[in-house]
Amino acid sequence: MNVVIIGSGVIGSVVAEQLFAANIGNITMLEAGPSIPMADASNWFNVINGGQPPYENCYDTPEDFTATADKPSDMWNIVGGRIIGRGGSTLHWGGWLPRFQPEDFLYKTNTGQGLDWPYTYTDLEPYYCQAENFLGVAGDSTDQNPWRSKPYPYPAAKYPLLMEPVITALDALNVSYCHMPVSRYGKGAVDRTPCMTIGTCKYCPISGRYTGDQSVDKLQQLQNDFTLILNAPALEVKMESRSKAQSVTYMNIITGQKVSIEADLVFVCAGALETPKILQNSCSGGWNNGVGNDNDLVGRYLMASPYFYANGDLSENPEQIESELGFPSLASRAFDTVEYQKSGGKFYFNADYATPNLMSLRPWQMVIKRTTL
Amino acid sequence: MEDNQAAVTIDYPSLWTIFTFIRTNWGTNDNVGEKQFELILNYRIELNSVYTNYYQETVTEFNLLQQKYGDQQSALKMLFQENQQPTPKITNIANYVLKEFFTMNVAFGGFKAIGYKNYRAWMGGGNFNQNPPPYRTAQVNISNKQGAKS
Repeated sequence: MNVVIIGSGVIGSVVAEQLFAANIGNITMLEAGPSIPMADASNWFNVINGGQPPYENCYDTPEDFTATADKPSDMWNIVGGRIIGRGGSTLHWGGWLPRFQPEDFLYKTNTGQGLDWPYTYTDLEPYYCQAENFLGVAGDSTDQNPWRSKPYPYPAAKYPLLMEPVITALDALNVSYCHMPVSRYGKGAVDRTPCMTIGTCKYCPISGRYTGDQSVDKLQQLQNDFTLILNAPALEVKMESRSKAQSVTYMNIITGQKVSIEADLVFVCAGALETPKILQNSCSGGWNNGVGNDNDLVGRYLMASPYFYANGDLSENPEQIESELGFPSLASRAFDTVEYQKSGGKFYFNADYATPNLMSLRPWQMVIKRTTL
Repeated sequence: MEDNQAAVTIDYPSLWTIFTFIRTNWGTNDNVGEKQFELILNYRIELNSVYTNYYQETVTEFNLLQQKYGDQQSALKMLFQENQQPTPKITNIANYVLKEFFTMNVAFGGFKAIGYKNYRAWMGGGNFNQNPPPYRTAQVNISNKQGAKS
């Protein structure tokens, strides 16, 4: 069987791994972007010295899309939000991996608005465990909010000194907190390089957390029946009938030629924006309005999680607090409960850091007096 | 590296002298050895060959200052002084050489002089799960864990 997977991100790789485990034929993976050097010494030194990581060359540009909104601040912006390249957007993610709460699957039931999910937290829980193992999550396995059936693959990092003022403040406010689950490979990691707390997480020199290129590397190293085609944005899935694919057409952006490859089975794993575009453009085999789009709903009602920041300044910094751990470690679900859901809104928050950062200062100004938490 | 720059020789010893002047004057003690330092400079050149010019420019200026002031220490002092101002004498030296040398000094061990146990880009620490952790940890009583209070 000829299988085509559109997209080399984390979802495409998971699908490929599962298909190989089930011994299902040859797999061709199409990636719209180029290969991006990861864990590369030259690029790492560039980042240390204030340069940009190489994947930023694969961001969208403002000219790539249009958006409208009542207020400029409400405008949908995808610049810097995704990476079009080998391995996909996890090349630049923070690795934050809190699970949804059980009530998040019951929005209609609890609020009378929107929809419930077609399955419950209990249905999904075993797959959360699998995903956490796949992604190498470090977390507090004693934390049962939400409940979990298996431990995290790695223990959580102890709270750094940076979190002392935050913990003191949360205690004073009687706001509970917890370890934030993050993709960071812990001590004793097998077939992975343990995180060395280097702190340049936006470009790790040793691949100490999950990034999508690692899965593609593994597929290319271990599977003879795997072919990756780069610089090949998919344009259309040609359908033989409403239930059977025939081929996939992509653009070779090096030559400018359109190329079609046979496909018995197609997985469209191209992200929230590209997947509906490809499906809408696939009008054949009885899908006159695009695959799955008989009701003109494909690509509509795109939703994202809004976020906001709250800052506080300390007037002095006698402990010379700095982000010595390098990634966020403390979060709170105090406002992420069914009660807040019912009363109008809930949110999850984590404590991060902004300054000081010695590298952003001029050398002769290297005196740390303040910190922002 | 491009072919037309393959024959260019970098005066690594002079650049090493400039780099080590930072630890002397800041009272820091970075963990970079001369060979490692040379390797790092090569990584910079590998990504962007224009760094060859920046390094040559720096050594040329350093040599001129030595001729002018007659001794190495005075030349080093002037090199940093003239290029650490809001309007540096030679922008390339200030931005792409000295500033990066300062960063390297901090990242590769110099931060210890400030009291830190770990810092961004420090490779000598260890995994966050090791005991004790390779960074300063919160010492306050962790009493308000999730679920402990309603």
